[in-house]
Amino acid sequence: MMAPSSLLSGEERLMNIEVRMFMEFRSYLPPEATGGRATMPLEEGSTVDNLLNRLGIPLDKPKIIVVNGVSLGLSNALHSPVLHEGDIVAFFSPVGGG
Amino acid sequence: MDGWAGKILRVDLTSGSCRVEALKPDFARKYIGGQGTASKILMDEVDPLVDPLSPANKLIFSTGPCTGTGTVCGSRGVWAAKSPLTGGIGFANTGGYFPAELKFAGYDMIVLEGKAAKPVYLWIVDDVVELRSALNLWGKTVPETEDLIREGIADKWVAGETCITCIGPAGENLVKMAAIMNDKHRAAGRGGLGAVMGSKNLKAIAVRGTGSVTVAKPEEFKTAVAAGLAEVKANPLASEGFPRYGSGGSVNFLNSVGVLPHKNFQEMCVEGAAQISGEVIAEKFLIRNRGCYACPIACGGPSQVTQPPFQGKSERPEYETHFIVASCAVYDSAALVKFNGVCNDLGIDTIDVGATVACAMELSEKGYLPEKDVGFKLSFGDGEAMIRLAEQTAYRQGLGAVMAEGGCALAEKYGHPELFIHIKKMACTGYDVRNVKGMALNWATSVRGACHNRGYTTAAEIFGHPQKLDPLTIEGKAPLVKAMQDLTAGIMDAAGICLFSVLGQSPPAMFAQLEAATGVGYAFEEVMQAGERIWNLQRLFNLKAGLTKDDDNIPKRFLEEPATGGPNKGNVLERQEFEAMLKGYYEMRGWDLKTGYPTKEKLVELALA
Repeated sequence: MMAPSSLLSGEERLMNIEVRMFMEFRSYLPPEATGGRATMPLEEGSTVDNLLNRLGIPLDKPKIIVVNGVSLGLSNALHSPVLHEGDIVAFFSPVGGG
Repeated sequence: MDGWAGKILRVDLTSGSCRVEALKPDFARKYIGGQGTASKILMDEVDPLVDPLSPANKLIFSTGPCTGTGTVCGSRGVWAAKSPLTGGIGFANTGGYFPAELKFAGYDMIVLEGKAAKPVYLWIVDDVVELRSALNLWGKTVPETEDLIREGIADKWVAGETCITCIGPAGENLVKMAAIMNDKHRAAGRGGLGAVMGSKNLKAIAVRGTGSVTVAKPEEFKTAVAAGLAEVKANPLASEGFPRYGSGGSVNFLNSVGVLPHKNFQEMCVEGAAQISGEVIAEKFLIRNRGCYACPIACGGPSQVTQPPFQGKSERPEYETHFIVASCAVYDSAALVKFNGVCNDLGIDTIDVGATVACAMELSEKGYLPEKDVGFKLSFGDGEAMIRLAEQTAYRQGLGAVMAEGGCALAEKYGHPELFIHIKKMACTGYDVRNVKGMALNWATSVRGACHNRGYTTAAEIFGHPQKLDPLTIEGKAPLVKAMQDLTAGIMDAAGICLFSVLGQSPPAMFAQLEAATGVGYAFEEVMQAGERIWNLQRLFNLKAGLTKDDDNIPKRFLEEPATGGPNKGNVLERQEFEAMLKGYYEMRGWDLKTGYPTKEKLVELALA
């Protein structure tokens, strides 16, 4: 779990990331989350992979990740971009077709 | 023959005569089956300038060599005719059990011509083929029709084994977006082919086959099927996502990336989408999963709403029906299930009728469609109105009499043709192509209208399958569109394999099953070329029917009205970008840049000259 910010040294700065979970990914949300959404404080400079680790989602679990409305594609094509304050990261089970 | 049953059933509804013709091996190899063999017969035997609802049009049902063999997802068949909606070639693909059952009865295709003097239905049990009176079926809904035919079969076991395809009231009433339904809930939805069936006074076809389809190389076939199954099982999309949430599982994802259109393509990224997602349908209404013949995925299933006002039964809706409900800004999952059920029961395409309702809603809100013509105040978000207008369209009542002629007819009557979002008069589907540029090119060049089924570049551009491409660039999109169109036309639609299975099994895996089933010595490239041949043949039919290069266009809304939300807010599809993609596509296809005709060299190369 995340350490309270008061325990962090002054050097470590936090940013807030909004996480939106769909389908079975909702089980990875912290208990206080509502409506499939939660705000996660992360160290500045954190990447999508860091967020996955924080949430306890295995890196190899099949998923589609969307950062600020841009799809990173299925996880086999995943790269791990750096996140920024206020970013919205959404997680979906693999879906497709129309 | 192996794979193919080897016979075409020809029925002249005018004279009532039925005869069997051999499927010639060269013809079968060259056009494979499905829309390939059907398009060739249409081209040879139907004047492309004919009135689509006249007896001179022919209506063809065509399976592929994989249909009914046990090929993974080899359940499909295609209806084809000149389309009353577009005026060009029309075809619509369906699964369920009817297509495989026709193969078990010994036929690859049924070619229907002429017009019966009174309503009839076609009865097939293996070699026994007869036309029977359908006077007691006329006016009935799709489930009522199936039930009545079954009730007339004395042996209940035989009744259960019989597969039925039919039209509902929409087809009888010659509604230009009428579907042909089979197995009660599978729709050959697009292009108004139900109206062609209705124009022939043909209500239904009931088939029972007691035979089986042989494959050429049984051991190789078994191995190829096992390999296809293993691929599906290993793919989380096909083995988990699809069975769990259906194709409607894409709703939240496509909404979050600004691709799901809302309010007749005016808005994107609307929060209400979560209320009509595949998850909600699965959680609230899905009773169980149900698949088609030889399908390990089972994306469908019976669903039921028990609470008023939208109580009723329906198959689990497909993504495109979720989309069309969002396009009407109806964010009520019960209304979505009800709308799907009503459209299926009446035999009307959810996409085109829903798109026509969305157009009517916009016309009404902008003050172009007077309240007195609708009979009530019509605005976006009204689920009951959406369902009522679909019913009125099927029965040509009230405003439905205008809507039944297609969305273009409605928008033109009220002076704003630009408000029906279509290509070649067929409604655009659930993709905001300001943000998916390959899909814009695919729609524009589709032979049957705004078709998402063939050349589904969204798979790569948005979903990242089999690899992620940038949806906002135009580079590489022309070859992508051509390759995906040829692949879908050849390996899937013509062979009789479900399009959704490409999300699970690879084209080489499908090809291996096709080759082992037929044993004709196909090379992969030959099947891709057959896909290209089919595409060009259909293009030629359209050009002879009077469509032109100018019909390879994209609605103004995408070119001129910037995206109102989402990650690409402010975007339009730039006209010069579109023109550049189209030029690249014509060059790749070997089509004349000025006329859009396939060049003589291309026709020679494809053995079409």
